[in-house]
Amino acid sequence: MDKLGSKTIIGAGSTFIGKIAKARVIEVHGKVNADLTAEKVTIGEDGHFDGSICAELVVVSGHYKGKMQAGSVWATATASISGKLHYKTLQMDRGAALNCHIVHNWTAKDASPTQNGNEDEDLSLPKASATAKNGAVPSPPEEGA
Amino acid sequence: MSAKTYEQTTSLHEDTTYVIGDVIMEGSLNGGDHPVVIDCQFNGDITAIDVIIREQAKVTGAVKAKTAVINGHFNGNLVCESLNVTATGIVEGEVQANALSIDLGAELIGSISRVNAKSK
Amino acid sequence: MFGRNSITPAAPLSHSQINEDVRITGAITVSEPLVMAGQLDGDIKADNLHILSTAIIIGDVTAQSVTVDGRVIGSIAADKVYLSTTAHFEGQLNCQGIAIDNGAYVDAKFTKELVTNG
Repeated sequence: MDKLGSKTIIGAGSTFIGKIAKARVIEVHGKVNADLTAEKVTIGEDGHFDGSICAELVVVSGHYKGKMQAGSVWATATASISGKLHYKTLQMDRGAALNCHIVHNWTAKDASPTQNGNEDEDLSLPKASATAKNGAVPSPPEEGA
Repeated sequence: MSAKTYEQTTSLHEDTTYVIGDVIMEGSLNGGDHPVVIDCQFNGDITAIDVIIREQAKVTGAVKAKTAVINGHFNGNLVCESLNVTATGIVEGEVQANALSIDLGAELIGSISRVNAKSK
Repeated sequence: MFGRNSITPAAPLSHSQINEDVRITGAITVSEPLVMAGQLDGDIKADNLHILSTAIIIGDVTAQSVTVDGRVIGSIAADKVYLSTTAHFEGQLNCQGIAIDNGAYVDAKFTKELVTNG
């Protein structure tokens, strides 16, 4: 019966605005405007997610805007992330668009934005300059890029 | 589009919205042109073509659908054209439906009336 | 008294039956199963009630179990209620168990109440 496990899927064409709590695995193919805490979040190619995500693993193939605090982030070729991205490990595929403030190895006390634009791959992307310039705290990066 | 029973949906379609698990959702959900299957706690509004509330689900709020299948607990306002409440369904509140099917075992508390002007 | 007609003189019926051409104004109380095909302007108290598709009841129905194929306008208080496809019901429904077939016309308020029927 529960062959789908406990996966929540917001289908393409759907829109959800509100709060999501206690999700474990969630896939977004539609538009979601919410704050979310989960274990694994997937934003599909047609997905739009607006809001904060706090998750262990986030796979972004669509649009994300907001503050993301994640352990592992994978931005695929069609990803577009804007806002704030706090990650422990990040993989970006060629083509992903990151227009956000990126912080590596964030911890709760490092919640203040540290200038640390860690981008693993050399891609022809617009740099994360627009948001990074705002509110940047001039402290030396802990781990040099 | 007739409401597929949840068991008939054997594979995941990217179009159908499934809200399943221990998750608690609060807010407004619009299923677009596709069915919505709820298997969790949901507080708020749901607007969709087909709404399927599974046995373990608890939905509180307003639901507007073309067809609604209720196997679980629903509390609130329901406006639909065709309603099916199965034996495990509990419906509390005001229901407006034109075609009704209620299985023995279902609990109904509230009122059922017809949708006169189908202006949805 | 009520104008009951028995349908088949050959076989003795285990239930009472009111045929469809009968119109009654008043209350009916019956302890046997009752098959109602006529029109009633008034209340029915029965144990086991089957309201046929030609029946029109305007009044309150109290029973242990009711099967409605016809029209009832008023309230139904029963343990088990079954509204079939041809049923037309408007009013209040107090019952423990309810089943409604697709196609029934229902405009009702529902409550769950235990019916102690005499």
